[in-house]
Amino acid sequence: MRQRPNQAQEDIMIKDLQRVVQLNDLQAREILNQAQWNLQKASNYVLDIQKSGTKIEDQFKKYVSQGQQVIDENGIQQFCNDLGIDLMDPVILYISYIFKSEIMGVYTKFDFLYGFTLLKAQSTFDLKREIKRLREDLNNKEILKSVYKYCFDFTKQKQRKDIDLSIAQGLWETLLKNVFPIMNQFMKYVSNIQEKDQKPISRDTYYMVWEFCVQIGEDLSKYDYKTGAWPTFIDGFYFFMHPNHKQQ
Amino acid sequence: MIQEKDNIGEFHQFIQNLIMEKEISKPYLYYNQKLKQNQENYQQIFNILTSEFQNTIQTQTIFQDCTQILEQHLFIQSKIKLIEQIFKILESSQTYSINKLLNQIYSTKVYSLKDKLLPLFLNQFLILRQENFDEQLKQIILFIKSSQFCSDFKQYLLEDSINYYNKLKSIEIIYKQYLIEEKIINLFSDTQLGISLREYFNKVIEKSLIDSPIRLENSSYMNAFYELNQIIESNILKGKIFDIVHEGMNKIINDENKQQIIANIFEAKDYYEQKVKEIFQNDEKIKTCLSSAIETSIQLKVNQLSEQLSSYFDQLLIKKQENKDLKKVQDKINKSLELMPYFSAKDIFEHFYTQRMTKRLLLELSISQDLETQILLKLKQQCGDQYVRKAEEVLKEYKKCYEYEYLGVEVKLFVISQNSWTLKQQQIPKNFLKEQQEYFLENQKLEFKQKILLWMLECSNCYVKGFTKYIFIVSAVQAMILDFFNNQQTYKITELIQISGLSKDEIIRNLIPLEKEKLLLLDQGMYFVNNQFESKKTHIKINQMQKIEKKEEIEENTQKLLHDRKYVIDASIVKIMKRDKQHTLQEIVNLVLKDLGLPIKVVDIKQQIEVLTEKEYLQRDQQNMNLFIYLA
Repeated sequence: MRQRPNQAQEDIMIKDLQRVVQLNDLQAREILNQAQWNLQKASNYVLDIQKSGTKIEDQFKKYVSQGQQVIDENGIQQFCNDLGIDLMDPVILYISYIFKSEIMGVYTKFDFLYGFTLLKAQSTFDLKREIKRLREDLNNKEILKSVYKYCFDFTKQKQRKDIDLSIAQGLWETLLKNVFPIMNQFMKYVSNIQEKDQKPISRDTYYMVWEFCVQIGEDLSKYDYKTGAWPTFIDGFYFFMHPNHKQQ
Repeated sequence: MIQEKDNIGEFHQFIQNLIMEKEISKPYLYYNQKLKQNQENYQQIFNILTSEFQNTIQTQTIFQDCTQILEQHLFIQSKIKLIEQIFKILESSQTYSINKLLNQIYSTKVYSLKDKLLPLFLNQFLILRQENFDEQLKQIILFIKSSQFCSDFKQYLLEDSINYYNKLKSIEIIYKQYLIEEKIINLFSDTQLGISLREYFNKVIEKSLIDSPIRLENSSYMNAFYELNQIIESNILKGKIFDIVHEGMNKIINDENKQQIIANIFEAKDYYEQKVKEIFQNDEKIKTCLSSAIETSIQLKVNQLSEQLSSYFDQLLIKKQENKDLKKVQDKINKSLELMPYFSAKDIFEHFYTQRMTKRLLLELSISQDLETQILLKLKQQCGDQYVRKAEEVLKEYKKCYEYEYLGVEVKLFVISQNSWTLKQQQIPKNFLKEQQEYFLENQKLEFKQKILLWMLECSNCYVKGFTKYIFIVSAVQAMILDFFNNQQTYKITELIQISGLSKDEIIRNLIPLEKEKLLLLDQGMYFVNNQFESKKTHIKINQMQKIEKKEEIEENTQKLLHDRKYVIDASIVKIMKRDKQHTLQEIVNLVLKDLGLPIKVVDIKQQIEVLTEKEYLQRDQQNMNLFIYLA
């Protein structure tokens, strides 16, 4: 068992792998991890996927618009239609998570090659059969957590470190509202925020909203608003629910 | 037998005489001997003795008056003791003691009269208790204690006492009563009655303390209040003092007249401290709560007050009538410096203090440069070396004064670096004193080689010679305007604006005082010099019109400083985290507050932690969400 490489070595290996096949950082990391950071093994794997993925590639090309290299929003809409799911369905976020897709609104060829292979599907039709199972998967809190955390980077623009409040709002609606009852009130709080007070959501705040749902949930008496290290955004929710606790 | 009877009869007589205090014919010793000889008749004698005694008691005891009762009681006790002495012999052979038996007879009699006795005593008790604790009261208590109806009496006494206590209203009365009650309670100490009395009385004290207001003016009243408070060891006085001081301070701080606020705060503090000394004997707890009340009040508006404090210092250090006595000013300043810790918005104070000091120095308004230096030294001691570095720079640069004369104009100037000079000002118009400016630059070329010099307007005085015999002390702009009149007789405002290059507001602001003092006259829109000017003084200072923006400027500066605090907090957090590597939120908050000593809120620190987390200086720990780790 080879010793795990350090950060710098990992980055180099990722770049090397990306020279073999065009894939994003997340996918490269995932695959190299699977291969215990053996570059050869990883390279073989991706080449295999490519070789045996001709059918998947055809499927991919069906969604690509004229003269494009990647699937854009129109293609994704079509994809969802074929899968029989709504564009706002959490399952599509889960699928993107499995694809390890980099940016929302874009699917690359490797996204499809990799994702479909993992899901043991050759076509959209095959994938459609899996939808029911995938939905059930989302009931597993561990999986939901992973998808939720993944979505921050998925929706984040490359040059920024945070996401707009409206986008966070959308994610909370889609992924959390039907799972954690407290989110009903939380969404009221968010929609109540005045435009001038609307600020982007940081990664820490975003992650902590999950923790809030899991640790505190409906029972706000557990919430330590005095000495707890909850982000001020979530403090804001607490004071929305208990205005009398807000100090001058 | 006859002899026996005789003997017994003798004893009979003896007892009777004894109890009725009639003369006894034979000495006691005689009876003692007789007893010894009559040993067989002990029992008889004994019985006679006791029945005789009983009879006497039945008939003789009177119950009219407490004093008489007490006297009787003492009398009977003494007789019993006497009999005991004589018949000590009997005791050794009998199975129980005479003393006990006689006392039993007596007590039973007394107890049978309980219903008459009790009210009598209770009444007397009440009367005496109102006046003073004296011997009679003490005696009554001792009597009761020894009687069989002691527990009954205690019950009644307790009820009576509670009623009596509840009628006591004023603090001073309660205190007076306390001194009496203490003595009473001591006599019943270690008994339930004593404990109960104390309990109830303390309750009464507590209630009256809670209900009574603080009246600092009334010394005797407050003394009683204080003593009572100490007796029941309560925090009521502390709480009330806090409230009253806090209320008083709040009123002062929210006063309309902003100029006087700081002076009033100091005055009030002195007043309260005086009272604490006089009335409360400088009690530590009360002193602490006084400080705390003042501090809490000041905290409510600490940012404004810190700025006003610097203004207060300014007023003390300007040359004016009230500040002629240097020693007095120094004392006031020293006292004010002692109170610096209350005004915790140190950054705001420092900014405005430096500004105002600079102005004082440059306008030559400061009463003493020594004093200025002293103050900076003291501030350094209190708040650290770095605290007054800007002010010190100014002072240092001020000490170097450049004086020269060129083309008939004498110039005295100071060069201050822009870092320290925080005043926002306009420069003087380019053409005014142009030659003098150039001359200075030429001669000081070496010293100011790499530096850019800006010639500033507001902190300057010009001495203008006019109408041959007068010297006018005016601002730079006014001097410039007057100089224009050397070239031309009359001017319209628009002309002045044009040639000076200054704004209309600026020109008007400077013209008005000149017109008011009648140096210039206005006629049909044209200004001209008043050649008929006359004045008793030769040196005439023309008062300046202050710029109206002052208040807004202060507000603006304050807001900027409050905003800058974010960076100050950032720097503190980074410093602490770099040193300690990791901390919980609460620890960071405490350390930062301790480090900065500024009146910042927890939420401000929390926000900066969030900012630093986003900038990846800090990271939240995966396992413990309250823990933050420094990222190298």
